[in-house]
Amino acid sequence: MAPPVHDRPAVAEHSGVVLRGVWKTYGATVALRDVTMEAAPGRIVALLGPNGAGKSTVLRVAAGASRPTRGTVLVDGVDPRPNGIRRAIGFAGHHTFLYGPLTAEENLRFYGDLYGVPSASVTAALQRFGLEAVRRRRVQELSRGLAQRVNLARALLHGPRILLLDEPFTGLDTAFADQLAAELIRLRQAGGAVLVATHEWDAARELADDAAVLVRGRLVLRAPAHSLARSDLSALYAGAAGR
Amino acid sequence: MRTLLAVMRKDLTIEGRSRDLIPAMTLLALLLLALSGSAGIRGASGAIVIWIAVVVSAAIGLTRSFGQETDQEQIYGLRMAPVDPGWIFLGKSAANFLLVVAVELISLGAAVVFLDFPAGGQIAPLAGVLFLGGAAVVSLGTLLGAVLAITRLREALLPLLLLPLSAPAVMAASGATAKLVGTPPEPVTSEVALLCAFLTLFTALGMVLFEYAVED
Repeated sequence: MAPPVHDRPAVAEHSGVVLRGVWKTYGATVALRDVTMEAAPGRIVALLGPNGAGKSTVLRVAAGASRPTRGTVLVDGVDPRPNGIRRAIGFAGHHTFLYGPLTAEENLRFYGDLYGVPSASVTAALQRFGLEAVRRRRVQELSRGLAQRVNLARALLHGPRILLLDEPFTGLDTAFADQLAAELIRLRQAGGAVLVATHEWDAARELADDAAVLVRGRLVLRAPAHSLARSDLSALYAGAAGR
Repeated sequence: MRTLLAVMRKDLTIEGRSRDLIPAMTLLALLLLALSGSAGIRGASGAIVIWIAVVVSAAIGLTRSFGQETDQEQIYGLRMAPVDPGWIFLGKSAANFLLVVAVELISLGAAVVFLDFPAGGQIAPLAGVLFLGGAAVVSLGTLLGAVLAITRLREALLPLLLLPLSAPAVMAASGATAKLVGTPPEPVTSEVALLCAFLTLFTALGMVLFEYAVED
């Protein structure tokens, strides 16, 4: 009997974020195994999975911070690592990319300079993210939640159309979490593509159009987010752990 | 150029606020010079001591320079920015260079005190050699710092690699320094040519390789 053929889903080539047959290894550790997925324009994709599943690695590869060992990554149809497409990408990971000894405003102005963002946009971002009162405080003195707001302000400062977020709701109060959700919805309506790695299933289900579930570096499920229940996730995680 | 200035300003602001790097670099240089003076090294032969002090101090500064780019993975933030990574390399090099120049000037003054170093007669050419030699060491050190930035052994490896790999530049710079303060002063064309070649090589390598050096 012929072995079962893995039916790899077709993905769009030219826009949003596309990963095709992506592997990522660190020495003997395999972080991603043949991952094929996409975040199309006008869609929010929730990237789900247990700890160590490879969610952060998917985001880093998609952002161009990490070179895939094998496979293809395309952002708006091109490799995200060269200079050309980087301006289109906003990335906020576990690590904030912020300099502790600099103030919130200095950090945003520094990244604003790198992205060619006018000074007025930095001021607007400080207002938009509720950071005016702490603009002159050093980031190392800020609470986790406030530092996360600066991190998100940095990621959105240049108006990216591709947004890659790793646990963006962590540390945020309810009001600001709602504001962030509104920002993501606005970006979706404007045709942006959003890929959000999260453990906050309730928030993800409410916000996301699609869900992609990673377990041990392998994409085990892609489905409309509304069709997925928490019990489905638990079963997927438990099933994979038992293998 | 805006990227270079932004990175340099950011690095100098951070170092200015920490207020411990220049004292640490300077203290080590002063200690080396004072110990050499107490061991009887005098006059133009103090040139090599000055340059050893400079390169050892530079290793401390360069290690720190990339340490500040890793605690929150800032190096990837730089890597993802839509700018030519070569300008980021130059910005970091420029900030490191200014720190090293500060240590060089202090070391030169200390050498006059501890080693009776005859710096008086050839101030302008001596300053030129100090700047050129400092830039050469910094260009190599910044490249090494970038390559080692995402390794756990950065703090141990950078001095271990910088000291031997910078030996040609240190020897040329100390040779030129000794010749300039000799009686009579001698031409330093070959040393300056070697320093220029060293600086050009590692600056060019750094500008080209920085992007790949900081890639995961």
